Amino acid sequence: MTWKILLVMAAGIGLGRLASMLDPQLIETLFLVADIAIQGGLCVMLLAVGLELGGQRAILRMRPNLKMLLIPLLTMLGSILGGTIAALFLPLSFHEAWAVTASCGWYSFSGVYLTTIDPQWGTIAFLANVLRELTALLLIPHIAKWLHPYSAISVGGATAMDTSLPVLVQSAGKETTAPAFLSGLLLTLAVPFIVPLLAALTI
Amino acid sequence: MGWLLPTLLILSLVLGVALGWRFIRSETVPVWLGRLQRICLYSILLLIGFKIGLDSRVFEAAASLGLQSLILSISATAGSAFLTFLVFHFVEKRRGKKQ
Repeated sequence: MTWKILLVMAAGIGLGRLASMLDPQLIETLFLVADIAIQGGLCVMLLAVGLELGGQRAILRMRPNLKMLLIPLLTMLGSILGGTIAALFLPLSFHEAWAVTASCGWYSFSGVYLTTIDPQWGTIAFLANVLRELTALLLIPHIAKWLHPYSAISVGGATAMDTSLPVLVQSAGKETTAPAFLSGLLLTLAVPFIVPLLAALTI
Repeated sequence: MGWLLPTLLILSLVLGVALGWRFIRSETVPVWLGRLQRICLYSILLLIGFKIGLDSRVFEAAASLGLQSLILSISATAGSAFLTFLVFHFVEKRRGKKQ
């Protein structure tokens, strides 16, 4: 999946490079059309994500305990903390780093949303979150073994309910299925609120 | 544009959850829904790539952006893993002492 994503992106970049040789006025129009199409596509994708979440009745009806609710909260806070430390060494302001890291691996949301504000910021968000998904898949077995099973869930971020779930269950045990799914679900619901909020800050 | 896009996105997500709750009866993701998500994802990614390629400024800064992304991804992963570890380690230690 991750390689397919990178291939599609590369194809898009190639097409964009070809189009960049066109008349500057036409380029501006293409930019605008691409922006509108991206925003429309993102709305449809979020509707589809919502449809999927709404269908998971057993999970939506589940009574979570405090421990389960702490995982997504700590995941979000830890990601923002990591972003704060990274911003000290990078040519990024705090709110720019927070908006990228608070996406918790949901690259299709943050990458697209931040691209509509600034293409450079969106590119960083997209790459950082694709890399987070890749890192999560590689590190989850080791983190589950050496740190804590719940740390492994938090590394997965928003992907704990889909792409990283099989790896999590295999390396941290079946009992992590419910907390992992719930953590991913809550982060998926929270990211569309938190990222625009952090992106609007000026720190 | 301001808050129009985030509002639209949140409304789409909430509407989706409500419609899914009402109309989707299976616990597994319906095939058409998975397909719709994949089509949206790949179209959006193609368009993002297109925009990056179209903008010479972003394209020329790709190497530096890649390094920044890598640092941000490592710090976010490490931050969430260690904070979760510290809190649960502390909670479990306190529970152990009480017992």
